[in-house]
Amino acid sequence: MILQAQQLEAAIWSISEGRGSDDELALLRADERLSLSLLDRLIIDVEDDLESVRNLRGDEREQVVADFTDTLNGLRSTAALLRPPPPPRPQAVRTEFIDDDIPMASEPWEPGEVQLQASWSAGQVVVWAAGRGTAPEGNEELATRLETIGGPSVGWQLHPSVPLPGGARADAVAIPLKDALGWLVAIGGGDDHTGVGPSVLWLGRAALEGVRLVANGSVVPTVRAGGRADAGLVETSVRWAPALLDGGVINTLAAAMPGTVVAVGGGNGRTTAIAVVTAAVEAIMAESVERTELPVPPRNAKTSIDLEDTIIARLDGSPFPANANLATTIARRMEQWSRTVTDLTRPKLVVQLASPAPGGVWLVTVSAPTGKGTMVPIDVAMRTEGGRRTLMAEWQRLGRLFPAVDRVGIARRGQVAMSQDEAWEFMTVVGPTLATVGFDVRLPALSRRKARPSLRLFAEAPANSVVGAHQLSNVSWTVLFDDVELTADDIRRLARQARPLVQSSGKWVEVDRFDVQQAAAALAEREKITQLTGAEILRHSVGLGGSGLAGGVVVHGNSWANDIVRSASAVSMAPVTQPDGFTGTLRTYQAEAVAWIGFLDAAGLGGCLALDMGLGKTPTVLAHLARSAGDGKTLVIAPAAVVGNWAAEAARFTPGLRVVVHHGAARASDDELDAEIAGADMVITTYATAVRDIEELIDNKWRTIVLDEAQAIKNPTSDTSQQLRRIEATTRLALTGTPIENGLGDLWAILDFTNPGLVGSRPSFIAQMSGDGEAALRALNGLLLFRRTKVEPEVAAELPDKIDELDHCTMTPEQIGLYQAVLDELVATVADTGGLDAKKGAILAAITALKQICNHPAAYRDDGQPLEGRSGKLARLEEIVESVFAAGERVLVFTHFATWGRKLADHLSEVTGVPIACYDGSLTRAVRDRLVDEFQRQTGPGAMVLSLKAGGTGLNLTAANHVVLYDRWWNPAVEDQARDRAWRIGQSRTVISHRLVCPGTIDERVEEIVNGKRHIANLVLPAKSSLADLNNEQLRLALGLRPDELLAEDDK
Amino acid sequence: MSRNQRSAQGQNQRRRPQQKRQAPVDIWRDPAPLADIEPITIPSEAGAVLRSLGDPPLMHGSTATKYFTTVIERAAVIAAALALSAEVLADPEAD
Repeated sequence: MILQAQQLEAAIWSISEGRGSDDELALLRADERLSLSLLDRLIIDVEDDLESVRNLRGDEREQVVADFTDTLNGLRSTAALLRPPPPPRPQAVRTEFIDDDIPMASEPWEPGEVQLQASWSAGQVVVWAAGRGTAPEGNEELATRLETIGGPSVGWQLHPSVPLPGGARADAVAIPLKDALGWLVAIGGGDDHTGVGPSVLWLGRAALEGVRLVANGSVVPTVRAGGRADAGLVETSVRWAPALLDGGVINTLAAAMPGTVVAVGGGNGRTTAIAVVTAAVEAIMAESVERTELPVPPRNAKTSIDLEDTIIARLDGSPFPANANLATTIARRMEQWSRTVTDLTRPKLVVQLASPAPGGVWLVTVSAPTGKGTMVPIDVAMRTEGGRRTLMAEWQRLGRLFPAVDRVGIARRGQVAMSQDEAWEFMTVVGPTLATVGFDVRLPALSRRKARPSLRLFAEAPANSVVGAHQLSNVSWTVLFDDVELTADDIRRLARQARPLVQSSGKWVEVDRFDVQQAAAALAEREKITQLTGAEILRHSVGLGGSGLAGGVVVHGNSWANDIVRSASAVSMAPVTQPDGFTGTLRTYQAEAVAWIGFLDAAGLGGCLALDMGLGKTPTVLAHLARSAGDGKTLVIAPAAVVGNWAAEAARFTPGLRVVVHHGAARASDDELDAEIAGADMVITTYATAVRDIEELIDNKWRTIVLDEAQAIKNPTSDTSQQLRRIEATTRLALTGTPIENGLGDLWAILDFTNPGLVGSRPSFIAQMSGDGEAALRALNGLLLFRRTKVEPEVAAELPDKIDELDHCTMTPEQIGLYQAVLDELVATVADTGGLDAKKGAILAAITALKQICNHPAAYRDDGQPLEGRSGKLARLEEIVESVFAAGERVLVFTHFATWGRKLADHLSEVTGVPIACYDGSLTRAVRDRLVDEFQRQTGPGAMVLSLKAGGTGLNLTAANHVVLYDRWWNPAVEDQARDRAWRIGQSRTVISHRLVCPGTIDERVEEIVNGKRHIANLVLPAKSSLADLNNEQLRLALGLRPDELLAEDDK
Repeated sequence: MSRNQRSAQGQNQRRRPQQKRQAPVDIWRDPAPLADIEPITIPSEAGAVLRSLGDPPLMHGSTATKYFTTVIERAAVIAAALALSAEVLADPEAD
């Protein structure tokens, strides 16, 4: 009877602590009367104990009370398991489990969703599916649900059904925690809890706490010797116990535990939380032991040495018989050994490192908690506080990881003076380790980021000094390590330290000794530089002064250059997207660019507007000119091919500006120029014309000079570059989409034009920028340069999917002569032709010829001569291809003349050095497919010429994001289809389409028809008429050249 | 407080009848919300807790320490992998 009572009591403790097995529960149920009697006695005993410990004082009280409360709740829950459930109540909201802490819900409730539930029972996760007031799912539905949710696919066993409130029972399956650990922690740590009840999530979170402990190394081996001794032997096993368990975490988990967690196995929140955490720890440790090679165990464990060897060999927890006395002794000694980390009530020592006062030392102090919730020095605590033994154990633990705390020569226990080197070691290594093992470590704020040195130039301009690039300012030099400013003396002091530390923004930062040496050298080098000009200071501001330090130069103070930099940084604060006088709306980056040009204008500086092709440099400049209208004239110098664009865009966006195009044979003569541009806001000319008429242009006063496609001056020694530098202007603007096309030399040439002398010499510019073009663009962006690219997300976000640009191209004298000759011949032919059909045929043939001439004289009649320099369209195409290739992108060129397309492909291949194919109807299907495949697969600069007929439909050529429609077709849908080879599904970039048109020619008539206009060359065509109805004069008007619109390339 | 201690203490106390009636629990109650997850950090030395205790009280304590440390370090790696899969592993670069 006594033996039976002992077994029952052991089972009661097992179950009430949340680790009981189904067998143990069955044992209790087998003798329910005796079990309940024992339980009642134990409950009374623990209630009395609890009442006693409530009178305790000191830090331990709270923990001991919590411990007894848990024990009591566990026993009550176990008793509840054995007592029959009370009759169901109408609300059916109760279950048979008992918990003092959780009030019963009494409000009416709505039926809940069926979710996966998990209960904890004797080391197993019991899973079922039900919800409040809903019918539970059967096993098949449960299996499907588990599979859908991603539960473990193996390891499940059928489990007795789970009784639910109201009498229903839910089918259930069970799995050992070790087989479900990965699944549970994934749920515990994840965000997606669809279909998963709070009990599953709770078990996952509890298991994660076990994972956290093992990850931290907070686990210790213990030896369990228990059960009945048989022939002097006792069953013994190694158990891995969680260490440094955080009581706060357990209490929080307990408070958050859903009732469904204990719907099978009973128990209260705290004991269940500890049981799950412990089971997770044991599962991971078992996995680790399985992967560790351990010695073979001795045959038996009857002697001390054999027992110890067996313990090491059986770290997997497998039980073994051992001499009862020896095993009990070792179990007790091991428990004492590890108690300091398994005892939840251990005193937590505070280890604090204090920053030194100036000239002082670093000091580590150790203090211990008192019973009154305060801290006292460990030395005092060990003399006066109770629990000296546990304090000593913690002190010894501290000493094992931080031997310096016990070193010889310490005047007072718990106060250790440290060198800077030791302090850094403590901050970075020892301190974090002590925190890991459970000490309360308090460190000065620390940054692991290495302090970055930079040279600080402080400039101050004398009062009443001249403002501008020639302003002479007094300067001084210091070094900054992040935000810490150090003089030469400070640097010398720092250099003497074994481990230099500085305190930056309240955090200690280690300084690299090499950086200190470099800083000292940089300061020594500049010791005698006490004055600098505005230009020199500005050069330092943009990183062109050199420093030898990783952080470059930071310029502070009060000088012209400082004002410039400050103004530049404030430029884009409030960009105006609809400036006065500008018809249209600027994109944000365009508005920022306008504000930047305004800043340059106000500062008397020049700059490079480096927007990618297609981002709208022309409207941006026009918006600035609209804002500053009336402040002075602007001279725009552009390639002949885009002069027409400038005029057209000015008419479109800034109709209020008075624009003069100074170009072509009919341009104003030297004598007439002043009169012609007297009232103008903007004069547009070409590079060649500007050079030719340079003296007249120099004689005029210009507020702004704009160089479009400024790559034209990238050779600073060229005549064009030299001559254009002679034109004075308040602001010089250079526009280019490729500012570093051939390297930093290009950029220097442009910047040296826009701000002569400011960026220093070409070699020093390239050297200071370390030859890195992109770095230079970043350094100068917003000050002397405004760079935006299509790939920048904020730019791309504002761009449409496709941009259509109309490029007005020039006609060379050869083109004009041929064009006129063909027209004359047509007029003569038509006059001599009687039949309407024949007349029509002649006209159509002539139209084709005229279009070919607009393309290129060789497109009309191949004379075998080189193509270079004979067509404005070809020149424009070459510029486009050059820009596209410079950006590393790909372009499609469409023409509806296949023969011309092949010539074009050969010519572009020769000019660019990139093999360029022509896709036309003469190729076999296999060859055509190969061309498309190769074009799509290749990356980087590339082009393909396509005949509109063969390549205009069906193909997928999304590798290109530029399309050039070299000649026009009557039906705009055909052109759209051609463009859509690149702009289609799979295209992730903005597609820029260029339509090349020669104004004043048949090209433009096509453009008018494409635009749906019936007005052709001032003729209104009757709705049903055709060109064949026109008389000679009308024919000349319809097809002939219009000199006032024609862009004649007369200056080459 | 061990079970034996509790029993021993209990036996010295006067028994008295159970006074409290326990209220049944609503298994469908809404529990307190779970606290936010603190990211799991990986210490530089997983065996530090063990090292802080010194060698275990065994005759070949240092040998035992070697095995214990190996198992604990290996377990820490497994735990880190579990934490990573649960997306709760702290960013080691965080300052």
